[in-house]
Amino acid sequence: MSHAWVNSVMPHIVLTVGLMVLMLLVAFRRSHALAMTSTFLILVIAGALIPQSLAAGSEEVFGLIRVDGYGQFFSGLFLLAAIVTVLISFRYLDHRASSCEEFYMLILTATLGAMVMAVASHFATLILGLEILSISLYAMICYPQEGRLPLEAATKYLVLSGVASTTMLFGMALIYAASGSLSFSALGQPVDNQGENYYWLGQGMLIVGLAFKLSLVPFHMWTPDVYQGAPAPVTGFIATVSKGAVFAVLLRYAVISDVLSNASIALGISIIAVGSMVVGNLLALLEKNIKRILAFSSIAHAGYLLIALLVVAALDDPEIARETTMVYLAGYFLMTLAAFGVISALSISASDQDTEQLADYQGLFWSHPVLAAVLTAAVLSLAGIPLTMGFIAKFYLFAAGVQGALWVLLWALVIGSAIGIYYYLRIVFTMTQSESTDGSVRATAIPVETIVTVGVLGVAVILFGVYPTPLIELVRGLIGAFGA
Amino acid sequence: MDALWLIPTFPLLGFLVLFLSQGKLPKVVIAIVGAGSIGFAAVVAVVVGKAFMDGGAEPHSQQLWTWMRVGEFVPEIRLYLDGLALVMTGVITGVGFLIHVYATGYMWDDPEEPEGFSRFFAYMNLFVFAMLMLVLGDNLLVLFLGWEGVGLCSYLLIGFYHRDPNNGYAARKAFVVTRVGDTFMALGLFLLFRELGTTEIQASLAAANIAWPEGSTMATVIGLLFLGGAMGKSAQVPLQTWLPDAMAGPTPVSALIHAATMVTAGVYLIARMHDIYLISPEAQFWVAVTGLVTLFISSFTALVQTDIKRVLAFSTMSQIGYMFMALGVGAWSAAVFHLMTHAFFKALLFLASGSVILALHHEQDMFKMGGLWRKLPIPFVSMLVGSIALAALPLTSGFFSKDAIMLTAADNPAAGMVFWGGAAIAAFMTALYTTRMILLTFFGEAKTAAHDSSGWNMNAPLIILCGLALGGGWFGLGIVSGVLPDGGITTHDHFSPIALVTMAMPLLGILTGWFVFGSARGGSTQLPGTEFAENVRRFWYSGWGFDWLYDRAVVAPFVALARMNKNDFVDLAFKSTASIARGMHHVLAVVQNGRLRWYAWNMVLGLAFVVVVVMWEVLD
Repeated sequence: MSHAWVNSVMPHIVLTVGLMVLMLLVAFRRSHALAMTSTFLILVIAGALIPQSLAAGSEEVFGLIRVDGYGQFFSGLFLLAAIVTVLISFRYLDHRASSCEEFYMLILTATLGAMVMAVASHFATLILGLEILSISLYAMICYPQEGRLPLEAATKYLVLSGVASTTMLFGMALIYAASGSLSFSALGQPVDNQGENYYWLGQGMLIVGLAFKLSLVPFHMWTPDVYQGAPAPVTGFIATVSKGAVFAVLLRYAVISDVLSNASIALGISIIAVGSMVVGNLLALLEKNIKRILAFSSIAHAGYLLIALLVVAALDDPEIARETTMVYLAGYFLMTLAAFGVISALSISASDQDTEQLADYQGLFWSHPVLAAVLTAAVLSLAGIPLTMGFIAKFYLFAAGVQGALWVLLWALVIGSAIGIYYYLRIVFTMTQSESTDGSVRATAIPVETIVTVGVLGVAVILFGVYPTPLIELVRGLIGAFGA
Repeated sequence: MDALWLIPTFPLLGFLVLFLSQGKLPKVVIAIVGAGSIGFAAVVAVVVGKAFMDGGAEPHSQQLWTWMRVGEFVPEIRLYLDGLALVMTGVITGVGFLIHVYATGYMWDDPEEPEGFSRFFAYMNLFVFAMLMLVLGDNLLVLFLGWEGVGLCSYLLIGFYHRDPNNGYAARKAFVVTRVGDTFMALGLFLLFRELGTTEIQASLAAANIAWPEGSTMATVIGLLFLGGAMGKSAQVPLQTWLPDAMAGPTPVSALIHAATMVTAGVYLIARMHDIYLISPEAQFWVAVTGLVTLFISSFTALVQTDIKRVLAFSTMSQIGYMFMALGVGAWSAAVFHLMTHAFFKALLFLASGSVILALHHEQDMFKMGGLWRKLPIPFVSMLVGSIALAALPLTSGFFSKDAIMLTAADNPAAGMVFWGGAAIAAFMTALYTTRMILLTFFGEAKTAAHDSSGWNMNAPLIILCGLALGGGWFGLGIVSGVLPDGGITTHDHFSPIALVTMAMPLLGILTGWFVFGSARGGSTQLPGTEFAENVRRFWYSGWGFDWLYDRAVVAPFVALARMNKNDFVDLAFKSTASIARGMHHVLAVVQNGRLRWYAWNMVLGLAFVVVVVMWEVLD
């Protein structure tokens, strides 16, 4: 009897313990810098323990979670996103809240929730992780004390997310009623005809709940308002960690439970995917608020990503779906964080609202060339232009879709991307125009740690676009060596 | 040998430094970075070249990285060095370095573009990088990248003096006309990939030899498509019209890009892909015809030009014509040999003319020059040396290469005498227009005051190039013969009638020139003043009317078509797509009204929809 499982969940334990340490620290001494630094260290230590957590191979713990290469890859991504969020929040929060220390605890809890979801193999852990994550997010969204938008966004998110969670829980209850199990792997086929109805109804409701979190059409409406209202670093966190965690668990669930083998479910998801790609891009088309543009773009991206999910059933080969999802989300994390990093950096001294109007970005190439270059790299990557990470990611999706013969979805992907080019390039174009007369953006001084953070992200977006091999090798290695 | 990757890296670094510093560096630093990067590349090229020769001239390839891995398609970024690539690299870095040094003087106080010093060297370094990728790439994709890269730099540098719209026009013309060739080239490339499944040069040539029998149609088609690409890049008839206008760029640009290196890329391409032409003699024959027509036409045109740089431009076309003819008649190494010697003496001629132009405050009309030989001794001697090499007087570098080409051409079984005869007439004309250029520029009465302000950095490259233009023929081309099928050695005795006539042609031309233009003392170039002669002069002057023809046959109908279609009915499809998208955006945006109850209500609708879809089959 070994305690290998302790090792496996060591990153989670470190986060939990770190959280308590941070709480005590804040109780004794209030210091923004200290809280930030210790959070940073906790996240780094947790990240450093990930390779070790995999040393024993994939491990099933208490039948609730399954620590494997797939899950821990996402845990690593979430930690990375959390580190970026910590770094870009530091100066941003300074004048927005009277005490900033608790914000970092919320980041830690939210990350912990996401990491639990990444390895969840049971409905209990799924819902626990999801709620730890969501409840932290509500507080993070309305953390700034000025302006009404953060509070409004948090309220909307709270109410709608509550509806979604209830739906999902109801779905789980129905599934349990029909199959008698809450573990992904033990989900048997329903017992009788009556049970069958409950079972599929439950599956449908479960998917609705998750689709809300992924902001898929027609459950997408909260996205722009929340993205706009939340402080920019938090928006970046929601866009990456929250969605990444939900998708990671959705794919794991779909593979293990084989729910997509039901043609009706697959059809429903296909419709949602096509709708998201088209509606998301159309909504972004003439939008003038960059945070809302990115919100709509995230709707479309979530739609693209569903192709990877549908490949599971179409090909009956989870490997391709896993690899595609991991590469795609890694790229999506980098470019989204880079974009929101730039927005946060420019909003440091903004008061009521973030620097989010497209007009504010006019002439950014002359006033803040590095930020403009990073934002350009990020949006070109979101658009999927070659030599960026976004191209590699989209190429993966496309290749997977072709193998799975998902022609309708691929057409939607192509059309959606074509529409997308317009509004992505508009951002770049605006930045190249001559400077606007309003000097507030120009005068913003950007702290070093922010410049370095977004700079590294921008370089990574280009670097992995030109030379993606290390990432692909890593993903294949994790899937191959540690199973799923 | 492992330092091979450093050769293109230095110019790239130079470009990055100059480009990123945005001209904020001091001028001296710009000059050192701009010329020094090429200097380092040249030093590395010498070291690598020595290692290459010591290693028995074995081809060497160096893999940098794999671009992507998509099924069978695994393009690798790999450098490949063999004799041919080494000669090209030597010319690009060596002659390139001299031209860069010269340019530090020539561009120092540029009256038209005083702010452009850094920009100039940034583009020049980028060009050298692209050109090196073109000749060192082991993959047609890398070659194509370099091919397009040099085209871009050529465009940027022709339009360097961008304040004059005419220069912008010249740059666009060069870009568009070469683009026609590039399209052929790209088609050839695609076809090659489809047929042979690889874009790696060595692998594809090996595969071609196995896959296609001699005279294969596919080889002919691909060979002709590549020839089309080479025509555009190397300014061969019928895609030659851009080169004279390209002289709008600064003179060092003309020397480097439009004489020594880029315009010879077509020759390199065909030499590199020579296996295709060996399989298809038909395609090879057309290479020779292209060369013959070009060298013939442009040697006449050069005779009546008044702008000194245009004379040299047409002369360049004509000399590249010789190279194409050499490729076409199977004198493979002689073509590359001529490429090298031409790079020496034509760079020399351009740089010397640059010194003259600078001394006359950017005067390029030869009829406004004259009597300069006393005032500008070094440019004069350089021009003279360059000219005798161009005219191919015995024992100069041009003689060895051109002699080998013409005698091999005479042996051609298909149309040897035609090839040889055309080339011999052109050789006569070459000597004639060269003599005219020297007489008009340096002799006769002085018409414009000259101020020789060139320093050592302009004179030293001239002197070194003088040495190369005279002695470059002694290099021989042993290294290339390992790559290309022959040594370009002709069977002709050097005292056979044909060989003697070949040798006599330039002398005859110089004598004729001396009598015709020397007696006129540079006053007038007109042939006897009949109307017929004047018409001939005009016809030749216009480059045999190609611009006129293209304006009417291509440009005018195209413009007319564009006018007719002013509102662009094709655009209707796109415009309506755009407006449909806009309309749908507006409809959807209305839904996004920020009301929480509306959002929640929509979620319920969505849930109902999903439940219906999921349960449909179950309930049915």
